[in-house]
Amino acid sequence: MSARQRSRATPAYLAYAALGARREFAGKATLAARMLFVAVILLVFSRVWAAVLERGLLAGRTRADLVWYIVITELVMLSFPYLHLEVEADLRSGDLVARLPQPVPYAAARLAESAGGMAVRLALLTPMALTCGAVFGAGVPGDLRGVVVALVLVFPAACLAVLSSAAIGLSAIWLHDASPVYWIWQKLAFALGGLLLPLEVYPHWLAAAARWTPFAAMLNGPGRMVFGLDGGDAARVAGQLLFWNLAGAVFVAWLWGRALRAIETSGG
Amino acid sequence: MAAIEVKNLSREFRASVRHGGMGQAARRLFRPEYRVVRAVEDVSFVIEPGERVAFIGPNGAGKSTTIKVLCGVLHPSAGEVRVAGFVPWRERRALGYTIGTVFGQRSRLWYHLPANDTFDLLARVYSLDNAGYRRRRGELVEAFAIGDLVAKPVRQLSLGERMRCELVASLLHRPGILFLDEPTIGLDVVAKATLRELVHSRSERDGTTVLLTSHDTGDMERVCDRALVIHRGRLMLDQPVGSLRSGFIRRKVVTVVTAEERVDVDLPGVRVVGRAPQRTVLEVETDRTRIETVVQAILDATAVHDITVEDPPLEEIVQAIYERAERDASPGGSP
Repeated sequence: MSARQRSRATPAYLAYAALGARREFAGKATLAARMLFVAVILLVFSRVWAAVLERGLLAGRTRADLVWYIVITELVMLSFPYLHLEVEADLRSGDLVARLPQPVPYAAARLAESAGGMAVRLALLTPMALTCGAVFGAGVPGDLRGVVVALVLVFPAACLAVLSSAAIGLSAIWLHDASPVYWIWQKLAFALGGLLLPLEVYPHWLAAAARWTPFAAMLNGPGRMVFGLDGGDAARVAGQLLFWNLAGAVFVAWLWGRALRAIETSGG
Repeated sequence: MAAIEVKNLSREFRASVRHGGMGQAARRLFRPEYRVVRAVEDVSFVIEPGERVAFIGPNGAGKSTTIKVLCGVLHPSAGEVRVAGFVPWRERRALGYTIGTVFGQRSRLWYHLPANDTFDLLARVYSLDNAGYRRRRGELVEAFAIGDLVAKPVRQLSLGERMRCELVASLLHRPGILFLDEPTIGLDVVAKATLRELVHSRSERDGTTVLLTSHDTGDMERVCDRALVIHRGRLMLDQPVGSLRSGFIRRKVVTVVTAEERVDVDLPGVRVVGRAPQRTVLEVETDRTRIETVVQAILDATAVHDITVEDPPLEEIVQAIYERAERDASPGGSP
């Protein structure tokens, strides 16, 4: 892309992001349901962790630690728009072909749109999740700075989720149905990312293996910040997220190039 | 410079062969078989700026394939194409600023948002300055009578209303060339007529080149001046819409209302195709008997209250073109 094309495209990407934000506001019922879901999931797990801790399991962790951990990991999982569904629908309906002749690349436009939607979700879900965390977690965590850092890290973590969703959606060009890929990704995120249970309580070998995956950087990384701020660890997580986001962006760009060639060969 | 130049365009697809039972299917997993399908074969044409051209043909004729190549969405297997001076598949992004596209069964509008939001987005996508965009949007919104629609979510619009909004979206950046792929598909009679009139009038006003694909000969008749007929991937005909009738079918339909119960005309190439009391419909092969001769014979035979001479509907003409193409393509067909 030339410098002139880039300067033309920047306002366009901002407009796509703004459109994505407007789309989120247009789906008020969905937003409300999502906020309710945050409350329900935090209520349920606050009770589960209370019961687990009463039996003396997960020694070294308090109920507040675990509830605040889930506040952060659920924020990541609930704040990214399901881009794979959009891409798959565009492929099936042929709308993708209708959008290709536009001067802005389809994949980048969709990513910008998702980023706008994600920003709205984060802005609305964060106060809700924090309130629920304080109520169901029976107070605020000892080190509030950790929560602040975790909230900062939620943004790049959600960006990584958006990139993953884009890659999953593009796989529909070859697989025709991206849902199975999404299910696998989601289950891996749950298990290797430590969505509900911190990797710190996993068997050592499994936690060590999981930490090599993007899932751990996406969920456990920001989540474990609530256990107490460790500057070195926060920097490490930020670095991991930066690395995985860059790798994700390169992978999506590569995949889009392949997908585009497939469309240009088959006609969509 | 021509708006669109197509020279010896061909496009082949590789389609997997599916036949046989389970055993064959299992074998194909390891040794897939393919056959080559020629969607477009050696098609050439030139469209000058401001022309309105219909690209018609039956299902699978190669219309959409050609349009996709012209928009840069599909690479050709062979041939040369220039649209507004650009090679579409190499310069799709630059080409995007100069063309507008409407794909009848596909949408560029955001389903849950008002069309206005998409228009605002497209203003940024096409780098329109604010004042110019507002002026252009106002002008198009008024011309397309969508003032009370643009603030409603697209999901609440009827298909006809949505298509008008789609057209406005495609015209916002003043494209020099407009590609319309089945723009009236699924529309009712009134919505079709409105859309055709709007496309025709905007094209005349802005000098926009239009290339329209359709199954509906009404689109061709009301919007276009020239028709390209494609069949089985090959261009069969390229001529003005007006001369399709006179040039292709030597047949006219004469309807006579008479004082007497019936009228009979005994001339070569004239046959009765409909009869009611005081009303007779005749079909005349004009290369066997001139139409003036038939009319004179009717006037000599009876007192005439009314008489109309019509061309057969355009659908029949196009059907005749397809049938001739089939005959020519079949072994032993006419040369």
